[in-house]
Amino acid sequence: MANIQHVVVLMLENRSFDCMLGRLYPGDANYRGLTLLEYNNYQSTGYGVWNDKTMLPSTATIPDPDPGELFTDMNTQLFGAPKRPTTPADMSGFAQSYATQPGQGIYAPSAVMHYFTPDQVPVISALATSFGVCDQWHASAPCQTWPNRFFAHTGTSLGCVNNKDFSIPFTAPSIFGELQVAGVSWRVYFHDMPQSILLKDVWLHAVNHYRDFSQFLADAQSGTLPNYSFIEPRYFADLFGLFSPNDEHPPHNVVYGETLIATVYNALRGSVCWKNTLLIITYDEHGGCYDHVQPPTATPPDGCVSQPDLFAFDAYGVRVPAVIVSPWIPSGSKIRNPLGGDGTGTPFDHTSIIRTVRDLFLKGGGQLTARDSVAPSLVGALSLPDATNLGPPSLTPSAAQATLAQVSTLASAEPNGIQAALAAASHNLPVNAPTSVTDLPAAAVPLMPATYSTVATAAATATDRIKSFLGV
Amino acid sequence: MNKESTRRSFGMSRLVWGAVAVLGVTASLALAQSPLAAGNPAPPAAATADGLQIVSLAESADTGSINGKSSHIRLNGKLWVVLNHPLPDGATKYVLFLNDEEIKGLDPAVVTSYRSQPALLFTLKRNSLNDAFWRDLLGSPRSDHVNVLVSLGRQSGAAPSDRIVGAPDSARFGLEVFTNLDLALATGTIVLVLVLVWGHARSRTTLRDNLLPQLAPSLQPFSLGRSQMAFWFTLIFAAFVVLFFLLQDTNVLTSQALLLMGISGVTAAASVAVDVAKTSPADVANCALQALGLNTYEDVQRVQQEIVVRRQQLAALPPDSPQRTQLQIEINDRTSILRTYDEKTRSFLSQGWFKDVTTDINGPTVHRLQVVFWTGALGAIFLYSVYRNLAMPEFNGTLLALMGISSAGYVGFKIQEVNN
Repeated sequence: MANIQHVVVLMLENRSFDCMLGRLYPGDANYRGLTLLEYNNYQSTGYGVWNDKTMLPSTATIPDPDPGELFTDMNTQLFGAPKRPTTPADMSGFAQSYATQPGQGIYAPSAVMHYFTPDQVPVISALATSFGVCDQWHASAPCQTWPNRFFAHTGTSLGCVNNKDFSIPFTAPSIFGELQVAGVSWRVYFHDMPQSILLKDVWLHAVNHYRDFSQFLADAQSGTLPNYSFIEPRYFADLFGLFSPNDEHPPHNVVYGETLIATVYNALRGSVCWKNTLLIITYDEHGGCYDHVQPPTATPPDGCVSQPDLFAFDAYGVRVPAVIVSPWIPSGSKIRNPLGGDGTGTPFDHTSIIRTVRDLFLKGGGQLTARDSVAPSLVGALSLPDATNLGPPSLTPSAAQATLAQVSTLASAEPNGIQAALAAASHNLPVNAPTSVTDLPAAAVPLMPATYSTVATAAATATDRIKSFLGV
Repeated sequence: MNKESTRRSFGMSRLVWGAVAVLGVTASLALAQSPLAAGNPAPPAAATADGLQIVSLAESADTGSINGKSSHIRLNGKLWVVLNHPLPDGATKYVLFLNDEEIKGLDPAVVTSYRSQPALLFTLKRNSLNDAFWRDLLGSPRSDHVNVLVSLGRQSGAAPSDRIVGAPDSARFGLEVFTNLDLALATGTIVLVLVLVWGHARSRTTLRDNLLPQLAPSLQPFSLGRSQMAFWFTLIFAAFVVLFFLLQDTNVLTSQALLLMGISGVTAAASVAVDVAKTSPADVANCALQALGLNTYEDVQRVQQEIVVRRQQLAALPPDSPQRTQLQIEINDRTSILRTYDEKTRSFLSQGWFKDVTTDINGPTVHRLQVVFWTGALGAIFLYSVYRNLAMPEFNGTLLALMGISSAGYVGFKIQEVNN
């Protein structure tokens, strides 16, 4: 069995598998990518998948504006109607969902049918081919960001399908809590406001376990990485630092996400921890970007049912990119659940992260929900007898730098779903992190009714309150 | 002028020079070495063979003699030299000597009379021919008058034995250097300029960069370019005012003084141009603060006031009021904006004049320090020169080039500074 001492998860935002990696292995029958025959109809017009060959690193923002990502939007994308039917998804409504968005701006249906070629996203593509890519990794539910991120940490969303539905703190037990009890080291590295801070499980330990992303680089360099690291990208435009978001959430430029991936990889590759490391790069959900694979049925995690839609979480969400990086993985791996063989078995989803961490550090214990108990583990993909696939010595991302005008435009825009929810949720945080069990709230409180006209004002509140909470 | 008024005017003299010293003068160091303006005239020579003697000195035909007294005669004034006999050769052959030194370049004396006695009338003008004479006589003033001994002689090198002199009490008088009114006007004007340019600098943006309009004026950092321009303006203007009142001459500005002002003006303008042309950290912060709804300092004050108002509203609500949550959120949001404002503007706050003008966002810089010290050094030379010579200094080309190179170096490095 591979000697993995460090699992690092980098979860980006809102891109589908086909959008990012659909053309990684063109023509390979053993790879479930795009054939370029895929299309959606809208108002009697067919919109095929396509690539913008004129795209520059500075303009890799498609789709712009942001597609819809509410539960009803996803139903439309998967079934062609906002109410979820009993029939299987046919992936026919992406163009329709996008074209009928109520927001301002031009929602050209073809935008969500766009895919990037490997040369346009060279970092994630290089890692996928140098190590392994999972073409069978689905979002845990056809839901918005928060439900899927909570699935990654807890194996459930407690019946919530949209960000705004949650009460804070999120009370389901998390993998962080299990690791804490077992004495396994863990840290969350973040850029502005970590979404995982909304877990009740982490509140007592947050001060000691949440660190700025720069600390990840320092820990990697000094060889002091914890057993489990979860990295959260920059969700908000930071005008003061002239930073564009690097979460790849449309219409945020994917180039900055590529830079983040390269930075994480280079730090690990140069670390003494490298030969004992497993890096998982994935995205929380597809964010309205087209993918051609129907989400299969899933094991409901806990019996919770969404209201008023009565969704039982018995189906996965759309496929998202998942690149598995480790010197224990053969180069060019295409990772699927071996129990499924041809890919029809239980697919990977975000709870596979929990399952893998449990297998590696908790000896298989620490089950959180029924979902993670059936989730395939990545341990099987670490099939080399020794850590011999060292991969590229380093990756060089695009040199594109966000301009003041670009960041200013992003900062002055209306907040997207996760930005608005994070800023509102920051009001649910105590001013200071609780230090004892008696300080923990007795019950979760619905998300505060805070609204923000711009990303900048939302970011100011979110980052200021998280600093106060963590005492930094 | 009695002793009391002399002491007063001497006190005023110290005041005006003290005011000038505020501008950064170190010229006082040179005072100990400068020759006293009040001369020690040579003892009177004997009368000429034909018995001609100076018997009296006067300010006009209508006033009494000024023999041995302080007079109201000053540069550009008229001096009556009264003789015991008419000059045999006509007045034009005689020139005026003060303290045994011929004053070259004066208009020929006018033959006149004073209370029925023959007299010569001289106009005390300063020009290029006698500039050195007046500079030595009036420069480095320590009193409002300078004692001079008057004699007459033939043009160009008259031997002392051929001079027309007078008895010590008859041929000596106090040449006025400045009056109390001059001092008051000069001091008042200089103080006014000092207050307008430097006094307001504490609370206004006269000498400060205004790159972040969201900062209170008193917190904006001082600008090296503006400070340099203000320094030379104040220095040259003060010198101009003092010389104007002392010499009654508006034509005291030299091309070198104009060049100094030009160099400092171009430096300030180029500095502003660099700031405008490049995206500086201040531009980024400005843009970010605008995205937070803070366009000006008034917006910051508005948000502060909104917090106060909402806190008052919150305090007035019953504990179970449903409005409390919304009010608390609004307070939190505004508090976060102000905390962000405080944190992000901290590096742009003034840290005092010297630190502001000698450092950029990364700390002290050589290109700024060299401008400060070269400007200070040239300023000291300038002031000493004005005091010593009672004239605008004639800097040589090397010194001016030094100032130009120093300023150009600053502007050049500022481009890189902004890039950083």
